[in-house]
Amino acid sequence: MDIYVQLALSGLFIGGVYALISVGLTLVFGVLRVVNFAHGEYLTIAMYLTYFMFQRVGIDPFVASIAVVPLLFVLGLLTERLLIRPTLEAPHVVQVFVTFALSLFLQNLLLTLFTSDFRTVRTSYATAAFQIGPLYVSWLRVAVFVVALALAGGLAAFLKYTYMGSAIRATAQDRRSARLVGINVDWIYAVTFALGCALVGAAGVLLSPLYPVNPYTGADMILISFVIVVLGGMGSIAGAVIAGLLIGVVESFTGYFAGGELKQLVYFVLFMVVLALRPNGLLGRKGAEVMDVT
Amino acid sequence: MTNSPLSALLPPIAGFAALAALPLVFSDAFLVAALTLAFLSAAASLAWNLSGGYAGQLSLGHAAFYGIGAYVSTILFLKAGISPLIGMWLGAIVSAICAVFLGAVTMRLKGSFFVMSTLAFGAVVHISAINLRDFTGGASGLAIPLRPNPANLIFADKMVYTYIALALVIVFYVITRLIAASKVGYGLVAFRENHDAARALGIRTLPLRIGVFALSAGLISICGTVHAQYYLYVDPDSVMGLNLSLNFALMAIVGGLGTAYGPIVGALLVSIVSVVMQVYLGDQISGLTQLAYAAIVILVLMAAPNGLGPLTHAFLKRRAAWRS
Amino acid sequence: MAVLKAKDLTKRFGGLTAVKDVSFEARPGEILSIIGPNGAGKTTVFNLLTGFIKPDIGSVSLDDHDLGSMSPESRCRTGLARTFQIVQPFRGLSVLDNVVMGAMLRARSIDAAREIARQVLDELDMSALCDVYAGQLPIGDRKRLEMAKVLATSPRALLLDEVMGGLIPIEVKKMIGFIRRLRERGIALVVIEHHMSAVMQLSDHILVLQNGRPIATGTPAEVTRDPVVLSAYLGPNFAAIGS
Repeated sequence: MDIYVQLALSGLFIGGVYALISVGLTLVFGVLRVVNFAHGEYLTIAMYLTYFMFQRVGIDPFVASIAVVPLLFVLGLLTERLLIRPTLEAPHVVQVFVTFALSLFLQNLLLTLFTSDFRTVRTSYATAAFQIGPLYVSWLRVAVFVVALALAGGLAAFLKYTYMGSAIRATAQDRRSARLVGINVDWIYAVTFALGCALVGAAGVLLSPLYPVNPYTGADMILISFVIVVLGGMGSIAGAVIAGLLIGVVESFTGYFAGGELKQLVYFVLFMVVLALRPNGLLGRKGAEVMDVT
Repeated sequence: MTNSPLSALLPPIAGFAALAALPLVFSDAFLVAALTLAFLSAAASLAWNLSGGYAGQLSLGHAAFYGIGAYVSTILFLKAGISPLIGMWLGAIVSAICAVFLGAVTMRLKGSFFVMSTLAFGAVVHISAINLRDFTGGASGLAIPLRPNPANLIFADKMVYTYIALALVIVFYVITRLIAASKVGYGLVAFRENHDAARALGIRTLPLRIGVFALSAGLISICGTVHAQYYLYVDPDSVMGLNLSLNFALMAIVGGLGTAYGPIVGALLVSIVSVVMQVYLGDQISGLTQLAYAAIVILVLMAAPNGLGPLTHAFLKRRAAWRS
Repeated sequence: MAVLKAKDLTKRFGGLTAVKDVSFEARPGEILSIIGPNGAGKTTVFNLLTGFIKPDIGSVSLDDHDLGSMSPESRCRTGLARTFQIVQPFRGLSVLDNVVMGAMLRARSIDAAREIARQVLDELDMSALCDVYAGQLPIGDRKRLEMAKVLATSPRALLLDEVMGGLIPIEVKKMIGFIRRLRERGIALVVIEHHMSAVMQLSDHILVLQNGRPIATGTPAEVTRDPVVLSAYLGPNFAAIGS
């Protein structure tokens, strides 16, 4: 019995980070209608930045976030301006492969700079744990979970209660009407994309004391994130959070009972099933995913 | 399609004759190996382009079909002694059947959702190949013993494979031309260009798209078998990796999506870049070739979204690019 | 004997009733115009007829065969074709190839389809534009291309959604002549049009919609005298003065 609770807890904790990664992806899709296939590389970049700040300068990851997250935001602004905006009206194939090629570019840039060696942020508190009854709970994991969910919640609040947030939501609903009421849609796109990168950057910071990083870390994570985003419904923040936690738990259980490689198989099959049966996800807006066919 | 058949046939015939002469001119083993890989990639990219280019169904799971071709023929050969000449057809049939099922599930998904579902399919097949150790040898793969015998598609002279790959390129090119000039090809293009308009004109695209997806899967599967016989070795990462799917797609895109010559142009360009990079930079910096490749792809997509082939073509002739 | 019959078509989007109880018949060699202010549900009626949207209530039949839940593709194959108000060209293709896409339906081969396409383009005075990319056409030519594509499918009932919108007067005049020729050919035509003088010149019957509901039907002369129509178009005060 205890093992189930332990598995559920560790699944939830990592699911919080998955949720944070996916929230950025789903936000960008919801507003720009673009799937950023390079989303994972921003995670990797953030993890490397955190690693080097920790290793070279001795800055704690949680402190490093003050620099890393804004840096990722700026990187997002740059990417949007250079690659996304010029291709928004381009054929679909261009949109898909620009971000795919960007992913390839960044991966190999990191590979060239840092080789494929794994690098680990070893904090003094990584192993600190407390005990509730028979359960051991890592302080670090709890902290990561809480911060991840707080950030996702913060994003939801930002979208709901600020002027910029309303403008983003209006643009997501209907970009033409948004323009008509005087919203600078180009700027909204840029901010949204950058926000997505900043969020995945924050997820990278949070992951770095838990996971080693190499150039492919983000690419592995992003596949999980696609599963989550589709499961939650493309464009739905709440859906991404719920699905993120769910996938975290599913992964934790299948990993324990079926082994590491098969756990991937489980969620990819889950992904195909969801796409086949309920392509608009648990909470997604209908209409973006499926066309009428005969 | 053509005003005078002869004048239209001349450029491709001349082009293929030039390609056939290349291994004789550059007979250095390193260059012949690069050419073989270029031709094999061109054939695979042609197969991808049938569905990805003409119908605009951007699959990133085609490496799974390539891998199925490699594994089916190799497993049948190693375990049952069945010649890969037969095995490659069985692999193609298995791939085509998988494609029909996958297509039935995913063909109603729009754009990026289709891309993601094919990514997931590729990952499922890849992971399965790693885990079905009894059949596939797991991550370490399967080796085919080098016993040259044309009946088993094993040759000591590696240049034979160069010409086998070139033959695939020519056959796939002809298939592409025939489909492009048919009602099937027009139907696929109608779907790609404007789905609602196609429906309003009574074009039933779903059976066409699934059919061509299956054909595309079957053809790329044959490339997989040739890959296995050429390297005499099959493992999940080299015949099923996501990078392989991405490469087949990117070659077609760089050369000219939805054209019959585009994938060939793309494959040759990519190969030239990678040979040059390897010669000048060597292998010590492993990411640099791919880095340059990715940068080129981004530049092409931004500056010439129709690909380099049609760009050149447009200068030479004003003619609807997808038709040729 | 009517070719196309619509019976009690009703469609709600959430709380909004877009179309309610719309019935009409379109006969070969006759032109039925559907008019009404913006948002009256005219295009929704076309979407219901052609199967792009499924009605909540009501049915559509062609030659007394109920079309049921038939797809737009199948409806076109049985002879019910439409144009789109927002024209839907295959942008990356030449004008000729655009029309070939329609002509394929009745042609055995692409060569045969190309022959049909050339004829249709010739009828519409578009032969000179064969090799131009559809995406590069000015709006007037795009409207004609939209017509050419569907005509190539040889429809028996044809729905034209604002094919004169954005045309200059001389083009409107040509289009009117062309639609008349289609009528003479025995095609049953249903036309949505804002160009009132064209509607009056062309129509055999007119159906007026307001807020998705039919408010009047009859010949052009009858409809223009109908106080309900006048009030809908010009406001109640004006209608009162008119009567």
